[in-house]
Amino acid sequence: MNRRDFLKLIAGFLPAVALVRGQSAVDSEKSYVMVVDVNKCIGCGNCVVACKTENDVPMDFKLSRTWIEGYSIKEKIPIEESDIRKEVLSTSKNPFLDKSWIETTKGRKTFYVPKLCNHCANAPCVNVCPVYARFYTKDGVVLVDKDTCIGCKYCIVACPYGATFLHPEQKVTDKCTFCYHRIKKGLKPACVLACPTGARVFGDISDENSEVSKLVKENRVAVLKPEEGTFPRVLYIGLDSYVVE
Amino acid sequence: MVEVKRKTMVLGLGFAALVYLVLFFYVFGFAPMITSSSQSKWVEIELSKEPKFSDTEICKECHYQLYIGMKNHSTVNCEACHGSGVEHTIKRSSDTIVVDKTRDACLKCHLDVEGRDVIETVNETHHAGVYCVVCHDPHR
Repeated sequence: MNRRDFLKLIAGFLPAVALVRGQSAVDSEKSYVMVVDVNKCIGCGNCVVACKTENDVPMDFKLSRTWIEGYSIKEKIPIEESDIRKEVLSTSKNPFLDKSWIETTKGRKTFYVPKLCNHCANAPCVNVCPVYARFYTKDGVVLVDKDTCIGCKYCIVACPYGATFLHPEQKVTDKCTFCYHRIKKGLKPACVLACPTGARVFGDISDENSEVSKLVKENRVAVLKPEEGTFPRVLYIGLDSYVVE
Repeated sequence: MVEVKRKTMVLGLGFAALVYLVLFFYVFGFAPMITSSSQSKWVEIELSKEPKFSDTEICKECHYQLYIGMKNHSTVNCEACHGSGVEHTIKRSSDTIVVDKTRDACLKCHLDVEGRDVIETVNETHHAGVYCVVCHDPHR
């Protein structure tokens, strides 16, 4: 084999590599997304409780697969860091019902942003995992293979959204799976089911008649941290630019 | 002397190239092939998990009168207030479902907190101490 043949062999191998890694979801029939309407979220915490019940995350543990960030902003220009008050709801205890939150937010611009794993099409956690425990399914959902995961926490460092965490009992990393066991049976994810105001809508964006397709068509949607180039599958309606994290 | 140097350099570069190629083929070629089988195995494990939350469509099979009489909470799923209901659909007893009649259960959503414009809210002073369900029926 001369040098030219060898280089040809390498060149032929590269597309095969891309196929094996399964980065492209072109051949799949479904493409799941979640549309979150920030205007409708009231910060009740039903989604957090439902998610923790459904997915066996301890209720008292301070991290969760999905959580709500409450922002309260004193409106003036320019806005400084001290003008923004932020609280996180991630357990069954709701900080938005506290006296201090109610008093400080009176008359201020206040909104609640539900957050979860964004199931990025170019996920940093999949890219950094040294044992290939994280992978894309054909529908675009990012899953953690908990039998392979060694708990090295690279993904926790890599995730720009802070959506992945170490499970306190299983000692491997855990994150939102879009309730993969539910959506494949035709059920809604637990957080979508528990949301009383319909702030979360889940569906298939490749289907033109689905509810999410209509919402995306009719509204201006945004994603969190577009500058990271992760192409998230969680789209936000009415997202405010104060939501930096 | 020059001959020896060149030989060492060629050998060194050759070794480096070999190490690089072995790593390249391992990382992009062989390892994903090995792990893809464990990944598809995990997808099956993930799919075998049993859901703990049912659906309103299943609740209405038995509680049809409550379902059609609903006005204000018609868009809210039953399990948003009553908790996970799969056990209740199997055992069908009243102790397997959450029936929380306290004030806190209602005020979780309906307390007058800033940023709750899409629903009706009440102040904490609104008939303090009296359960909401005394006057308001949540199923109407």
